[in-house]
Amino acid sequence: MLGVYLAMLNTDAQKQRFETLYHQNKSLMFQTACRILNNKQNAEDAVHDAFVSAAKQIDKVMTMSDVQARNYLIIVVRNAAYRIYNQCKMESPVEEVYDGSDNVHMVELDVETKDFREKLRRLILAMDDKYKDVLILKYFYSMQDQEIAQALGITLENAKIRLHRAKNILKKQIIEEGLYDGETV
Amino acid sequence: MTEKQFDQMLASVILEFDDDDFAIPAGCFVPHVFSRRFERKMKKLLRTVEHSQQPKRRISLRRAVTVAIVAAAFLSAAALTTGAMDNLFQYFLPEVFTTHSIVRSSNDMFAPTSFEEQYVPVYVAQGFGLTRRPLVIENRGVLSYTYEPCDGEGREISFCQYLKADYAPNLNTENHELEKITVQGYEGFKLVIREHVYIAWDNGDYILEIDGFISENELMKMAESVQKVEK
Repeated sequence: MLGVYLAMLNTDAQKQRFETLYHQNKSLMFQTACRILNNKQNAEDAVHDAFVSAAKQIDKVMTMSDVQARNYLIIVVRNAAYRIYNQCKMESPVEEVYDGSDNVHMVELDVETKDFREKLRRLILAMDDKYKDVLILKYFYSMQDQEIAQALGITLENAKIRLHRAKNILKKQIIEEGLYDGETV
Repeated sequence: MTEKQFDQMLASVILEFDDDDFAIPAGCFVPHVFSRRFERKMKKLLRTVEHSQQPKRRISLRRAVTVAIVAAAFLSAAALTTGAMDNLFQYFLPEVFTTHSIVRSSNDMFAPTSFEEQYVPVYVAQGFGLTRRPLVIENRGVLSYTYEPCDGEGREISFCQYLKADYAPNLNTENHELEKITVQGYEGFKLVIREHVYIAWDNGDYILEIDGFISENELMKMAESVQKVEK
């Protein structure tokens, strides 16, 4: 019986957590979506889509702190807003195709210096949202590719491609900025 | 540098991100009153989260208790009048509380566990149109369609198709009763709270549900028109 009671508490906790996140963040999320869409109804749709994504990953969300969950929801709603924006433009979603031709390899990189880490941090922050978001979900939230795809409302294949491109963009920028002494292969 | 080392480096840098590194919209907030349509959809989502998160053991236990209660009620009713049996359901298990009831399907053992077949109403009440973006929460066991008033005034009509195992609405039965009805020849029930009409029925494979603030006749007409979507 104890197991049953604990399970019940867990259920209530999940429900309560979700509701709390909803009430805490819906306005901020709406604001985020509205800035992209400039349309209140579509922005509400984006907020709703974001919460649907969050509901699908409630177990993951339960492990996040309030701030982490807020930042996660902002990423999700921003991508939902971009999706709706593209739909409104009547653009058919284009599946990205990976041909492997843009691989960038690096050798002998001194990654331990504080200066390098700071520059890399700035490069990541300056990236286009769609690439930055996928990196944050991957490395900050430790999400699997499938979970990233679900959070961003894209296919698994697209999530993988986006992640691959994000890393390649970073590698190229690292080279262009002269942040390493080695050679590309 | 190997790919793995690059990944580790990225992870170590990104893990040190602080709040300011996330693109939170800055500036003053403009207060926004969310529309009724949004609040309604969110209410439904919250309800879905609640029900989908219920652990299997709890459901099993509750079902066992419910079956026992219903069986006892059935025997009691059988000992009384045949009229009293009219309100007992064959395919639904209402769990009645003081202020509300949770209704579940009683024959989900061999029901589909995915939406291989999908259903929609062919007839739509006059003045309503299907929302541009239907809500699909397939892995939560419900497909939901919303019909909005064309003139933007009034409230929506919602049509949902549930996997039987996931059907467990929380219905306000305080001072209201579930009324047994037949929809498309299948067992169902109706709940009317002032102008709000709720109809659900078991079509053999799924539980179909429709509700809205329109007349019972119109809603029933929509329910009777539900057909399988031809792929």
